[in-house]
Amino acid sequence: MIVCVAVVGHQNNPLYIQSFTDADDALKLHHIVHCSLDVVDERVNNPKKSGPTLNETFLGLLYPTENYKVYGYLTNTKVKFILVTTDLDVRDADVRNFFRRFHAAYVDAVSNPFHVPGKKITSRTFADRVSTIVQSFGLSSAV
Amino acid sequence: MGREVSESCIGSLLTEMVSTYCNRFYANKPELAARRIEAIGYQVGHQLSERYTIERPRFSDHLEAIKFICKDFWFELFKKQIDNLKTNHRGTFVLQDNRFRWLTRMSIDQSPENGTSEELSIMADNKAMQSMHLYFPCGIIRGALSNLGIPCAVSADISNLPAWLYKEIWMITPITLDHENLTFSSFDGSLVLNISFDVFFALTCNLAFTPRFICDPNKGLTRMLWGFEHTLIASLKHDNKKLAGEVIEPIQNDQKLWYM
Repeated sequence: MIVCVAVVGHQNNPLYIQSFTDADDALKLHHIVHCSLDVVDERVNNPKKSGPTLNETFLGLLYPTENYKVYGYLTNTKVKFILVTTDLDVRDADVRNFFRRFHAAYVDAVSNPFHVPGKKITSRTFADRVSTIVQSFGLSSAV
Repeated sequence: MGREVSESCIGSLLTEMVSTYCNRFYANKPELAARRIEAIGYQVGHQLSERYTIERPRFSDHLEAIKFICKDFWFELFKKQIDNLKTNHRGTFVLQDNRFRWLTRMSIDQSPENGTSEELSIMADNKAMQSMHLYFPCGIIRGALSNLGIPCAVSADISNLPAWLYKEIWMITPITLDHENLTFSSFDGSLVLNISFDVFFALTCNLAFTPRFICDPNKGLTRMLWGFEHTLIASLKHDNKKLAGEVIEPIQNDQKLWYM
């Protein structure tokens, strides 16, 4: 189950954070997202030159904590997407698919001329699309 | 469902944008008009670069980003690639487009060899007007590169309309501007909006390059703007966005801009 998704700008400023649990640990999730930014920077600056993953957008599993897994995705415009999930057996393909749809939704939200780049995304359409994507992620991995 | 915009519509929109800013808003201040047009281009380029870099691996250095601009970005915008790219390896790049699409329909006045001073000044005016049309594409390039992490300044030059177009890019920081407003009422008068001009143009350009609505090429710019208005209103209602300008006013008759 996806617990939290976040969009972070290129100056590590949060553009969109949304948690999907009823529990009141939103702050803990924000903290997890914040820590994962360091891991993203580390991955980008010290790439493992051996693999073909030098310039990929999908960064993969960033780090596992006691309950959560955190996945990262870095776009060409240095915008980071962070996904926090509690699932134990998440398929790579599912996460990639999720990020692809999330990226499309993000691009549509940013193309709104009323959106100021660098400020938080306040579009309700974007929020609705994200919750749709999140819900279908849970369904597909249950299959 | 059609997802295409006719090229003449975009051409009309761009020409109208330049003429609006040069003749109506900043009638005696061409530098301000140029800066405003360039700022609109910056916003459009910023958003387009987000859209066109989906599914692409990240760029490893500046040259990769410039090559992306020359090939994929230019292809998406103008259906062709840049014809020639030169660099001095110290931060300056020259992009050369032999047939710049937005200027192909523009005429030039050939001056005779021994022109009088009157004719020469007319020629200078023509040149100034032509260069005004280049600020928007310069802004697009600057916006796209800034979003890819490369602050720069872009300038353009025409040596022989409509044949050659040079652009130079070098590393400086960009500038920002403030807003003006447009009163826009729906055709049945039920909704009136005040939005800033450059937001409107950015919306229009963005929608035009990422086609999202049906455009009948026979009905021209009026139809496209009608479609925009409804797209704009629909998207704004959906987002529950309240814009500046709550006063309800009928559209003025002298705003012939939108009725062609």
